[in-house]
Amino acid sequence: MNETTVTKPSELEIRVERVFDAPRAHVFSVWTDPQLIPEWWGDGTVVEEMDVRAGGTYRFRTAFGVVQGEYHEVEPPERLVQTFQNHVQTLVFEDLGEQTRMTQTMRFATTEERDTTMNYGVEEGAKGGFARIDEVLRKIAA
Amino acid sequence: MVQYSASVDRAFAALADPTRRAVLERLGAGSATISELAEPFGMSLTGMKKHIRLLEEAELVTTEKVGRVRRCTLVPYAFEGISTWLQRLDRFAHVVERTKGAR
Repeated sequence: MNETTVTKPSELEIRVERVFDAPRAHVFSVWTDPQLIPEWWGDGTVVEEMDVRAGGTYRFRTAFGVVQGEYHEVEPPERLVQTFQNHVQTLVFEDLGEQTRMTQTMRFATTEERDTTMNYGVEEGAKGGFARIDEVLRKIAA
Repeated sequence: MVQYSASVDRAFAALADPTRRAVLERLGAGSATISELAEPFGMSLTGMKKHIRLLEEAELVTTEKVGRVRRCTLVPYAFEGISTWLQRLDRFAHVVERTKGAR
């Protein structure tokens, strides 16, 4: 499993970087494939809407509620800008040959919101717990 | 390693009950009042209120009094923590691996 790094490049941002062992076009296509969404968002996730183009929206009904946002920029296979609930995410897929580096920058309206997201699960452990619950629910659903 | 907080223990305890799991599933389709939740289970309002209180304490559900009724909603993903996201990325990596070469 490749390492993931999490940094805070500014007062309003969180950046997540990870290298995947697959060519860039493939990584991008998995990210934007509605049929594969339930596999990584948790079984039972229903893709109610996923219109992957600038101005299009997405809406997933997950075990813990609705997740939604709007696509602002869609430039396969290298760049995707989307809103995700309360913040904007910029995803850059960098071609490393047989590997792809994904850099995901999450930009929040306030430092408080950024810190809430950052601290949940890391310091409190609470959200890590929710991820565990997600696993339990998947087993229940299976 | 993930540190399990008291709220996570409460969440697991809350999930141990099949009625409460069914309530969560129902709320996944949208918010509902206590009586709307009680009816399909043939349960009294008092009984359902107890279940909802446990789900609230586990931070899985929030409730809001609207007029004379209490409306229940799943805790939204709005403040999803970064560690949840990282676990999802692990699953994403598995999907990337599994589908590699298949297209």
